[in-house]
Amino acid sequence: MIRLENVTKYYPIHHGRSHRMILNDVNFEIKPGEKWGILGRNGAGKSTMIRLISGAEKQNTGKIHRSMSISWPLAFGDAFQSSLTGRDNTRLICRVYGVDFEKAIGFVEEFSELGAYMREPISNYSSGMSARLAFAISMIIEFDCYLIDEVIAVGDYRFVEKCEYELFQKRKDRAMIMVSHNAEFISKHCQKIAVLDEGHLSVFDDVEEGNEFYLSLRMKQ
Amino acid sequence: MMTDKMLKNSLFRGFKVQSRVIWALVLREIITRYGRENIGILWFFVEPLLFIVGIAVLWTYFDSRTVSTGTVAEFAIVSYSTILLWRNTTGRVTKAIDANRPLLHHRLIRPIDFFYSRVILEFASVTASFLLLFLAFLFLDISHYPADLLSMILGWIMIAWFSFAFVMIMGALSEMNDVIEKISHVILYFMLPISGAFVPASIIPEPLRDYLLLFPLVDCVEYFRSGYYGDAMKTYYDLEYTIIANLVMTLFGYLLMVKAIRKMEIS
Repeated sequence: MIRLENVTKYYPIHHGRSHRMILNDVNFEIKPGEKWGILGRNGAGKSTMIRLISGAEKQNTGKIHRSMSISWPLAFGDAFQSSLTGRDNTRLICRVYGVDFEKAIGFVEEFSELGAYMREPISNYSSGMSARLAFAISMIIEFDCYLIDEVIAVGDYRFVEKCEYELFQKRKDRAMIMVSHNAEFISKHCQKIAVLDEGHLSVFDDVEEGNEFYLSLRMKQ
Repeated sequence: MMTDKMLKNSLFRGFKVQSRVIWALVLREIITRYGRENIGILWFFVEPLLFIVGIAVLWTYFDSRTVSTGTVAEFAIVSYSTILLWRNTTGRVTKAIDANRPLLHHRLIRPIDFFYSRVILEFASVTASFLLLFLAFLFLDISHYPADLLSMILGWIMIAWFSFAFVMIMGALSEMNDVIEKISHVILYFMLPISGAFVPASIIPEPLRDYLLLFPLVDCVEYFRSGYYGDAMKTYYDLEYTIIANLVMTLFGYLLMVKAIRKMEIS
């Protein structure tokens, strides 16, 4: 289970003379196996929420309880070292999580289809290539809960299908938190929806209801 | 499957995971810093080695430095090498956490692990090149066998301890304030005369010597040199005072580091 209790997060602006509220007293709970979609417009604080859940950042007030292992945001190249090669990044992740490198590298090479680029620094990759590598590396560690930031809609149609199979078929028993501004993607994969707007999180047990609320927000815009 | 709860359940497991993470970061650091091109990993030894050899040559031929015992070259290796421990490492740890922030998305990696991994690598590198050079100097008959090997080893450890506390303070300050990173070279430069490395304490007149020995690094270096020279050189140090001073500095460094990490995580 992951539980956010009265979580508040703001960033300093104007050299610390003032601050901008991102999350205002947010409460949220995710149980094992649940698929949650978090909808919000650009800049609504979706990625901040993901970073707080992953632990990359800390909230200003409130508590976050975690009793499940949580992945880093999937297909998210930023969680790696751009000066290292794809191979060396795989090696680093394997060592950190205590996974056998020889077994993992076979899967990463095959899945990412990067070929000789595996021995090039990530900084030489196109954005599609780094997303492919990032997704492949994410699949070598097993987590209870996967964080998915802004859709895996990278690469061509066939690659997206491959990713969706790995994630939604092979790992359908895991919890997932997906963050997007795309209501269609969220409806397809989630059973529950939360909408983030101006720092407030509204939680809906029903996908339809959540979608309608999100649409009404966009109308107002 | 690994859960946070399981990790917390046993302190030993937590320790095991953290050492695994730090080791992974050390190996990662080796590749990013030395690369796989030209002599690669050999830079690990060569970089500090060139420094010490260069200073030994400079001091021997272009400096009017006099030492009461032995040659200038043998004084240089047991003195200048100690500077590398705190000076090079400071350069490595400033902004180390900030630079590695993306990796914090991995829950097993804690901010302080970046700091530890860089300190470990730098200490290992300086120690290894010192050992290599010392053995070479022994072989060439420039240096003699240490008068008291144990004191020399303990002395090195004491210098490393001081350096650890010192770089932790500098590292924490650099994370908290950009200005520190910019002026760290100035601080390091002005630390040289009071580092105990350039002249033996015995040739410094009283009461200046007493004041100088209040700085724990000088005591550490003197102790280290006493292990090498033995009775051949008069050395001054107060071990009890130095241990307490190092301890206080370490605690202060930890508190500062915890504060810096907290500040970084929140912004």
